[in-house]
Amino acid sequence: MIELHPSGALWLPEQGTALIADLHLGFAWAQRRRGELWPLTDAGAKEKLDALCRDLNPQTLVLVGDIIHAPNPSPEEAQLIAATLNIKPQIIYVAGNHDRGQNYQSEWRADGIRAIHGDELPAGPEPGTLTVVGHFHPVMKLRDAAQIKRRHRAFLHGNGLIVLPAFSPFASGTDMRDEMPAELQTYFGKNEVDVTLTSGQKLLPLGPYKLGRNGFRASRPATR
Amino acid sequence: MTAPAHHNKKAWPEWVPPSLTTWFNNHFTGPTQTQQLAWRRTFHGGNVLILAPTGSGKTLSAFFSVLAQLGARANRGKLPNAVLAVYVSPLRALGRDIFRNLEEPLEALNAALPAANRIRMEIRTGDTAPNDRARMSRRRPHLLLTTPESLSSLLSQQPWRDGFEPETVIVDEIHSFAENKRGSLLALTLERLQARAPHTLQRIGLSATAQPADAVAQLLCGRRPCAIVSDSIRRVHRLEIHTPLALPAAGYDPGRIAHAVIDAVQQAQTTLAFTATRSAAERLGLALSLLLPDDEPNIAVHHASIERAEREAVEARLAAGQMRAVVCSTSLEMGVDYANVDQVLLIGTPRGVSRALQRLGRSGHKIGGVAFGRIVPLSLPDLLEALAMRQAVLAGYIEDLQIPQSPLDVLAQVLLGLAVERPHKIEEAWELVLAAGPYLNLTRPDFDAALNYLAGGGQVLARFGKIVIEDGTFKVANAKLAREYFQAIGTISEDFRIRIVTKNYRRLGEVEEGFLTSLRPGEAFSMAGKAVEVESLHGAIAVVKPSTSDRVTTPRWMGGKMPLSTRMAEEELRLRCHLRAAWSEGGRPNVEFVLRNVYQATMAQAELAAEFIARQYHAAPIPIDDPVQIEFITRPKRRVIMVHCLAGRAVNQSLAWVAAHRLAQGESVVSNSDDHGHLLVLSNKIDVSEPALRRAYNPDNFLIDLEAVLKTTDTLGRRFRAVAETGQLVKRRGSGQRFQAWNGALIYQTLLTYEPDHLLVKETVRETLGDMLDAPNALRHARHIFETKWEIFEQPRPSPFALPLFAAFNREVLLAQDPGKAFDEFAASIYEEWND
Repeated sequence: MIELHPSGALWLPEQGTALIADLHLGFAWAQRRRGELWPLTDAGAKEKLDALCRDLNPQTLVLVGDIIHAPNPSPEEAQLIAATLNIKPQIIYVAGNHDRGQNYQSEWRADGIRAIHGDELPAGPEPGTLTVVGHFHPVMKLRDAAQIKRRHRAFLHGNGLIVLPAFSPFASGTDMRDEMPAELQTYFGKNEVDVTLTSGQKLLPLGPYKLGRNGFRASRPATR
Repeated sequence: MTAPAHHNKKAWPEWVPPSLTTWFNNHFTGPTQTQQLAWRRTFHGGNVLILAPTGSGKTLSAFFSVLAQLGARANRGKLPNAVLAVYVSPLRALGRDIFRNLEEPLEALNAALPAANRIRMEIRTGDTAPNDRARMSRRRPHLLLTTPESLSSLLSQQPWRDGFEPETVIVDEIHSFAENKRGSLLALTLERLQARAPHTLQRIGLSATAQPADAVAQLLCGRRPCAIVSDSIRRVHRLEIHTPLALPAAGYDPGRIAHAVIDAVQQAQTTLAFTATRSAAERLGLALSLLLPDDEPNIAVHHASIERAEREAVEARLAAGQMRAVVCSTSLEMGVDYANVDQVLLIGTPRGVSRALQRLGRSGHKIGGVAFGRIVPLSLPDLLEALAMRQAVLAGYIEDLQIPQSPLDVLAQVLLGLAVERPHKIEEAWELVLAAGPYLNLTRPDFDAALNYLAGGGQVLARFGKIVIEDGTFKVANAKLAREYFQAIGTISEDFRIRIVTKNYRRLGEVEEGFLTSLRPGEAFSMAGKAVEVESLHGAIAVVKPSTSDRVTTPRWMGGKMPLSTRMAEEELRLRCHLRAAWSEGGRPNVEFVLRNVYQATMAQAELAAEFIARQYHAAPIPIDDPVQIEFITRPKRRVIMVHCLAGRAVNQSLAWVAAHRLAQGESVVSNSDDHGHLLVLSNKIDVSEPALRRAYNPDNFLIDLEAVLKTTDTLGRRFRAVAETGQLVKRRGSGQRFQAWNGALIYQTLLTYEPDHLLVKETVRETLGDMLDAPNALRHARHIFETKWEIFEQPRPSPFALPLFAAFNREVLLAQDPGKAFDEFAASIYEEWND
């Protein structure tokens, strides 16, 4: 049994395991090192993580890559990162393309589920296995009642793959309707993909989508 | 206008080199009145602001004393290898034009000087080639022509640490800097120039007629004394209104009136046509080329997104009198002299009188010439605006300038510039900044906050700043940051650009990335007046080929339409009141009579306008300010309320927001506003009885509510990016960079949550309330609406005067306060759509 959680986590209640992707800790510090004057804050990542732990009380938390935004954090930064990850559940670190110089494992497997970061996407599904990835920071830009385009973080689920939204509050995301990366387009092919949006507090299942020219289009109307 | 020759003796002092006076006397019969007035001041070294229309010998009124001093100094002995005079212009094109104009007198001076001691003049802008830059840093130009951004950059560069000994600075078209942050950068840069000057720097400003002149003088000189020289002769204008047989009811599409434009173009030798936007210039240019095939090679489009070489070619041909028509947006609005232009067309009524005068001044350039222009209205409401505009132009009414006060993002940029130049004492920098006109009222806490911010301070431990502060001195933190600073100078934010080139790599210009991605494959668009389609795309370069498609799209560029000025709004209100009175006294014939006799409309124009007004009277009288007119349209689920208020877009936006905020009670409300009114789209659940609606305009707490509502919209987030770029928080997005995965609105939200008092948050709110929302005027209008009698009309559809508000639907959404609720509403709306 798998559940989606509004924080952007995938929740396996039977195993007491939660998976999240793309924390990008130390993001603002990395911008400072590049010479920009970003506010030195995690924008609420720690609070979000603590709230997730309170809500689900997981025994295990799998971080599916891009945990630390930039290599060689300064001592203060390393301290802040350590404090952020000082949480009750046991943490499993899966390496992402940003985690250079970290000694993380390349994948995590349990009960038919495999978690990899997703920067090297397999060509197709592994029979009997659900693959969970992050990396793509999926969002959907949709028009609201007033015709204003807004970005909503999204879970994608299709062809034996779940793509998690980015957990970092800083990530603004890649629109799956007109900027979908080529690897994902190739992977999903003609398969239907279930899209679920999250506001952070609530989930909104949008139903199945199919690939259009640059990304998704609705394949049939959703029902409530 | 020209003084008799015997006045020449008194016009300049004895010491002016004879080579220069001979040149002058060979070319002119005598100094113009402007020159005589100006020289009395400039030859004595004092600060002068010269207000004069083009065609009054303005260039030499400023430059003559400078050339004379350079010549006299060269006669006395060896000129130093240093910049002795600086000329700053808002446009690179203007610098090139001045260069051409000064070449002759400079040659005359140099001919009388030994070869080793000649006066050097050079242009230095962002376009200057590396080898030219290197040459200038070895052999300094004595007279440097530049822009505020390039000057600001030079003052921080190591090779230019010495060799800057300016005695005089000339700022051209200084009025164009007054109302934006480039002016703030200019004023601070002038103070930096003063810090390098061996003596008190002489400042000479050239300006079109500006009001109040004191405000411009203050921008130039701060609190220092500054004489104002104003040519009392008003420029002679001939302004006609040129209309086709029929006009659309609303909209801004110049393609629809192209045949009227052609008619006008064929009546003149050389036409310069101004449109409101770059897109409109493209569209009209394309239409002209298609409809006038014989003149096609001599018709061109000119705007800031067209490649520089193309623009220069057009400018040169225009100067040589080879063009039939040039369509431009704002790029040819200023200073450059094109003596051959004998007609200016204003396509669509420019929204301000000063702007109209500036554009009209582009024709009749010969000294004492008559400026001839025509307004070509784009729609019926625009025809009324044109009639009102002509009255204002002929009466010489112009707008008061609004100078931004102490912008903190520009302050941060300049402080970093000082740190890159050399270590500065904090107190020294404080004195320097405080002397600049826009910063006279800067507070010490704001100044300290800017330094603290650059040092990496904030609520969190100060680390990784751009500057280091030690013992009351600040300097740049490291060499890499110093290098990066030079990429980040300026106050103009631009979207990511894609360069358009032809197959043989001729550059045509640039479009915004967003526009290119919106095109379908093979879809044609116009660039520099030619129809092209994308053949292949390589990163930031798009290769195009000519297109034969009959549907051609026009690129959109950022930077929207000009807002209606308060002055124009008053003028239009006067016209409306006049016509409403005329209608009630004698109906349509009386309206036509007033249009023809008071507003000098032609018979055809009077008929067009009267027909439009008669149509209006089927729905409601002409909306004026007393009584305030309100229209209601009721639909099954929602109600549209339109409030007519002739006060400009900024005021209407503020009014719409506050009213929506007060009426909404947690629901989302859509609002829209333009120069002539605002509308609200509300759910039927909301009480909009007259007392309830009136309360929404209560002036008590209006400004508090305006600031509160501002923070619930996404406006601040959108405006934050430019402030963050100018204020050095993020790098300016340049060509070749991919789109950002981490956007400005997010940084803004983060700051608002974690550092609500952040310098740049404060600046974004100040700028938005002051410049975009015109809060003080909005309050005045709220009080007026609150206290005045209303006339309310229930309508099946909007009245003709309300129609433009629908045609230009740039709606703003007032988000429900609770994000969860907003998400629910969004969910409900999409399901509703799919269930239809």
